[in-house]
Amino acid sequence: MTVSIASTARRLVTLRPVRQEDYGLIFAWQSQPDLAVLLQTPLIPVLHLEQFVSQLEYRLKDALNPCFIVERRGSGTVIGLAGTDSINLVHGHAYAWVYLAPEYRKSYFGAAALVRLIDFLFIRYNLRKVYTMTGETNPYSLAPLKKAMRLEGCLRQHYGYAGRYWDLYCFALYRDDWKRGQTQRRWLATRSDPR
Amino acid sequence: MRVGAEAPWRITSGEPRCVATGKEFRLESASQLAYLRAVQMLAPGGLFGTLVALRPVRPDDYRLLDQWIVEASSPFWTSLPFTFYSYKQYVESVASKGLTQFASIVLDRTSEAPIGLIRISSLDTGQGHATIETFMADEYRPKRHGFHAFCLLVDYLMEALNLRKVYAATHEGFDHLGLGEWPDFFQEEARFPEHLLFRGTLVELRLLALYAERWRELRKLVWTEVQGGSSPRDAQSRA
Repeated sequence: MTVSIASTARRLVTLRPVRQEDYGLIFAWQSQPDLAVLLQTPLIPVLHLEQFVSQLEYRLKDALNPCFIVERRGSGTVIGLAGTDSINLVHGHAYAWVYLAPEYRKSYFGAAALVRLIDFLFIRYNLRKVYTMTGETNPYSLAPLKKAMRLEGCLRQHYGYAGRYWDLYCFALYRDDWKRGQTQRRWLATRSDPR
Repeated sequence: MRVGAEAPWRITSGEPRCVATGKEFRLESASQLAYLRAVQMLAPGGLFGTLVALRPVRPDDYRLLDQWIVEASSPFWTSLPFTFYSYKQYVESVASKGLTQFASIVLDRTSEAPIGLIRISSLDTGQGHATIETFMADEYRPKRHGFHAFCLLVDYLMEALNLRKVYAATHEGFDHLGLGEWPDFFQEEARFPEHLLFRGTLVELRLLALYAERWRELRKLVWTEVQGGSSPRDAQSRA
């Protein structure tokens, strides 16, 4: 029997809007030294809390590019952040991203959060295609994404980190593939369920 | 490369002001000012070649841009706003984003008429790369004008802003660059099938990359054609 990846993801994580009480935690994540590794850029400015809150609130006002807190289902623990950039409703595509707190990265939660986000985008915005990108310095998501999504580009030496330039991989997921369940089955095979 | 007097952004004693919109650009930090000064150098008054010249977009271009947008003869326009007013808003929003995007009008040197638009999106001076999109009016598409405009801009980005890599975004079936003579000019690094919906058809977006080392090899070959003579840098190196 094939288990739906969407239902598995629903059992693991919940996405909810960002609230004011989350700002401190997001600020702490933003100050993580390895954030550059995950987001493929070392040029994240060092901000005061007030500046950070001002920028975050500006970002959260962008209704077309939602930003969610990822919560662990059951315990309600806040474990990460997920969102989109560059939603294009005319052409039906968007760029999706997920950030997880360090202690949750080696488990299934990242994939589950991305699945929930993609499910939301395909249903709510009627998109045809969702992109995601990851750099070769991100050991947590590169291998699973190579199995679960279509690799559409490799931008060589795209970003600099720790004294050298690294490649950036562009992946895409099509709604038709998603509906047919091909991607969902591949995704299930990428990581073990932590429970 | 010749530098003219008119800059798209003027930084004087007061707040910098966008020449195109007349709107003030409010600076929030010293680094933003430094960044703006750097980007102000992006086509400061224009870049000039034998066939084409590049100059900043001005309000009197909006009517023509509107016409190009409405005719929409290329998928290029589908990533830009739809109308005159929204194009004006687009120019203003570019200012508010700290100028990571930039658009120049391509002029025909013979008639001095606007014949296209060349746009830089996602300029990242820190990581050293930018993406260039080129649109040429239909009658100029089979000619070399798009290629010349591209070379002028690439040379500026590589030499003045010290970028190490430039991406060219092109759409399947719409070769605005006219690269026929230089098939190995770029390395293709990404193909995004079904990326755009254009006239009822899903069109593929291709991302081509040109590295600074490759540009410096090719520059000796193409510069005479584009610039009609040796560049100041070549003259300097010979001296």
